[in-house]
Amino acid sequence: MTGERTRGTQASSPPWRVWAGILVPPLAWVVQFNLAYFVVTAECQAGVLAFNWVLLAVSLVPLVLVLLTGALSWSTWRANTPEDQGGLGDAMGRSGAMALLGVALSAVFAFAILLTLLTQTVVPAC
Amino acid sequence: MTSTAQPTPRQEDLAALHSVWDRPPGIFGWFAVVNHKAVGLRYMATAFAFFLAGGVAALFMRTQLAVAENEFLPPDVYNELFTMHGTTMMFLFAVPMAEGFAAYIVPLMIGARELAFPRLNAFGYWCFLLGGLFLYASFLNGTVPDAGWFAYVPLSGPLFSPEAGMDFWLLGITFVEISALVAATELIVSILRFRAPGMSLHRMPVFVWAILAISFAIVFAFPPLIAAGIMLELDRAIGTRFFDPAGGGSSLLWQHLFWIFGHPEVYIQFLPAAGIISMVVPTFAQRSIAGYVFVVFAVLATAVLGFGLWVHHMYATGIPALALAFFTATSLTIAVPSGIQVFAWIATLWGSRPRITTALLWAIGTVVTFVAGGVTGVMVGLVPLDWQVHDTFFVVAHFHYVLIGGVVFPIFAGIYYWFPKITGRLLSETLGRWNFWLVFIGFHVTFLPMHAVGIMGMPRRVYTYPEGLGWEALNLVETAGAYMIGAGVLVFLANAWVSVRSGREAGPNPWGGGTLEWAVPSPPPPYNFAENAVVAHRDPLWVEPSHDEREEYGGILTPDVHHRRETLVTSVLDARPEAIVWLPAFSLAPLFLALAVGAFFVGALTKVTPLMIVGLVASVAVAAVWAWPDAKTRHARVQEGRSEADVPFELLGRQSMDWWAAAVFVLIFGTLVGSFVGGYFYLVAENDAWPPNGFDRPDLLFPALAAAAAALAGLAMFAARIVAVRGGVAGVAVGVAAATVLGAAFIVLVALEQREAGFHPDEHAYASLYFVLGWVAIAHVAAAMLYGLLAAARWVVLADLQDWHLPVVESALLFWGYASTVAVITVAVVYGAPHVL
Repeated sequence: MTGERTRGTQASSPPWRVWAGILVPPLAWVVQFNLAYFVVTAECQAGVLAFNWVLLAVSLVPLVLVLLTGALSWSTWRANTPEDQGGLGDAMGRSGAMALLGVALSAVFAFAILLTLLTQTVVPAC
Repeated sequence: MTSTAQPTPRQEDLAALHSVWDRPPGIFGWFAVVNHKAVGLRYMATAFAFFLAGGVAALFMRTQLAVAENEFLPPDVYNELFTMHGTTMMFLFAVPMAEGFAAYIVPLMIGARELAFPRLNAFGYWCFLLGGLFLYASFLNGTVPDAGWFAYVPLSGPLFSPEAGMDFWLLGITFVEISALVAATELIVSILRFRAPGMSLHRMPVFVWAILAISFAIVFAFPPLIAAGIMLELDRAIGTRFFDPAGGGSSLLWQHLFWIFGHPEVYIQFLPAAGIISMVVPTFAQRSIAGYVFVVFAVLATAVLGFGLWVHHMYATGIPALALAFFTATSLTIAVPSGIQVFAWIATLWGSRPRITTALLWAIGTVVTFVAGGVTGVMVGLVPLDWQVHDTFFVVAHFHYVLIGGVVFPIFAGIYYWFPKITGRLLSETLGRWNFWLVFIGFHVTFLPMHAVGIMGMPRRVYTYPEGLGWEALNLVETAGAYMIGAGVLVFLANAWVSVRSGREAGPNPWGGGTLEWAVPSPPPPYNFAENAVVAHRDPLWVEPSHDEREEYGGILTPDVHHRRETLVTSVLDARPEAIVWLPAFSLAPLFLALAVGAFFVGALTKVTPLMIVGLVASVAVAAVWAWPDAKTRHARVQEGRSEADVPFELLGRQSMDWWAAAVFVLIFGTLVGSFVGGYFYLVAENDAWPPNGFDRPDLLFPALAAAAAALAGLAMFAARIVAVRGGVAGVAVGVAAATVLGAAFIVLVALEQREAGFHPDEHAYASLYFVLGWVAIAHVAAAMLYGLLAAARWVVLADLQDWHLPVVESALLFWGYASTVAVITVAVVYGAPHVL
């Protein structure tokens, strides 16, 4: 049986940072994804075929938000992961683990938004 | 015993605990039981029975397809069988089985004595059972649903399915969805508030994370299908035009709403199954799961990304190319978290010396099979390939690799893993291996060739095929494989039958597992834990808490229960002790409420209005009795104040369990209303003119007054809360009365406006939406009025208790705030939107 001893149940970071790191990236993606889908569908029905600045904005704003949240989670993680522990999982306290979770969520949802941005450069709108 | 290492409880205390938590004897006790283990076991047993029924339907279909131009089954029966097979496996087996595992295992795993709302849990089970029986009653009626498990319109609409089959389907499915939603509610609140002290979120078992994630997914995924089901039933029953293009509706609206439910549903099934694997693999590898944080990340990311895949099923429906590309992008993205889970399982096994038990064999079988299904999933996520294989057996092969490999195999892993905990006896490993290899080999013999026949062009959902296309040999092999699976399942049944009677005794922890369910005897006593566990690691049985941690958190919940059902409430993030709450005991109310709701549904199905009314009135009456405060208990709580460990006996206001449940219900109902409003704007976009030609724009005076009344009603309740905080008695009564009067004014104004509309709901989709959204608003306000009045009545009963006014008003305020918001929004949409669009 493996597993390092833990460092108790300390909660060194305020809860809002934890919740922001976990909740903002998925929510931003949900909003971006649905808005982008709505804009494309509506504009295709209206016959708008030119390069679409609205669509770009719909994706860029949430992307920036996700990246900023990711940076916040990253700084929380670094602040809560002492050099001598450095590892993953239960070697970390709650704040560090949840911040790392936020970093990973930011990364995957930033990737998802980037992919939708990329498709706009290679796939015709309608 | 648990990791608390407390002094051994006295036998008389344990006997008292046992008598408090055990169910009453006899037939009354059988119907009135609310204990999470009894209800969870019923979920699992019933779901497995439906699994067998769905499996028999599959064998009939495979027999029909064994040879070309077979006449074993007529086409209409074949249609009924594939419809019932898919419906059974998706609605009556996979999700309820996961709920059963969750209801049984989660409280044990988090160190709780019970779920947060035991009666709600029992109600959910009865709804599931009645919904399933409702569906299968269609066989007795001779009108079996036959439009496929996704019930596409117009096939499922009044024109092509005029018989009652689809009514059985719609009403039965809605019942089952209610069951899933109440299960989600109680699991969310239990997981967030009932964890053992020290089990902060980063120590929560992966299985519990998975159940939490899918519970939230259910909250947002199931209401769109309920909304679609209501619309389709109205189309069928009273001729509304939601899905009729000739009347301004859209058949694609059904597909959107169905798949907004349907694709997350796949992950709602897969994630608990993956959670089981994440428990089985570490136990048999005897090491903590590799990359815990990233596995949790994978669970959460998958649950959310699952909501961005619904058009993945609609690539051939003419949606703009760029929009399709968005869904391809999500299809590719979701492969990342899915892959992370698989790599974590492999990494956990890598370098360990695992015990190769049957449970682990199922887990390894899952990895092999699910990865193959995932690869073909990425393939059909690509638009060009999907267009080629759409509606062929390639797709059938793909989703069976995902759903059998990724759901059924893990469920078997879970059964072999937790059977000893549930029954106290081990399943036979010899029969288990026969069970595994027969099903595993039979599965691949059945479904691997389906990829080939699919690429060769064999369409799905067609009852036979002509000779000479090169499909015969492969189909015969597939059928042989299906019978092999059936034989494997029979071996499992034999194994369970023999082992539950004469299997080797398991003891508390036969596998050396690290999570809390293995800390209690097998089977667990009715109270689960005599005293609260203390957790200092995510495998708490492998790493004991320190002396200081035991001192700080041990012994808060003790066997000395004063003859009531107590469990510990802890904080969301860090699981710090907050209160000891008293949970309700056995009751027949859950059964009666389910029967009353069932009477309403049967009345709707048979179009017997008196039965519908009786069902509705009985539902409200039973719900009121259920919610009526137990003044004696509450007086006792207040008098006692705090436990010996200085923990309060209740949480008030927004900390109370009632408020948390109300908050989840608000999310559920809000999603339901959002689905209707989304449908409204979808149909606006589908029509050239809104309102359509021949319809005048609605008058605004009465609707504006109604919206103002609804808004003022919400404000009145808000004012009542302010008064309640200051301890004002009269102010609360005035607030509730004002809200009730304003609510009644809203209902009268909207009803009058609807009566004066000058058109009927069957004239156009615009008219259908006009009426249905109006009644959605009326229903919300009426429910809020009832809630407020009930709160006022409870307030009167408990008026002499200091500090009790706030929690009573708080939940009603939350619902009133929500209902008045819905009322204002729907009035704005129905009456305002036609003026600005």
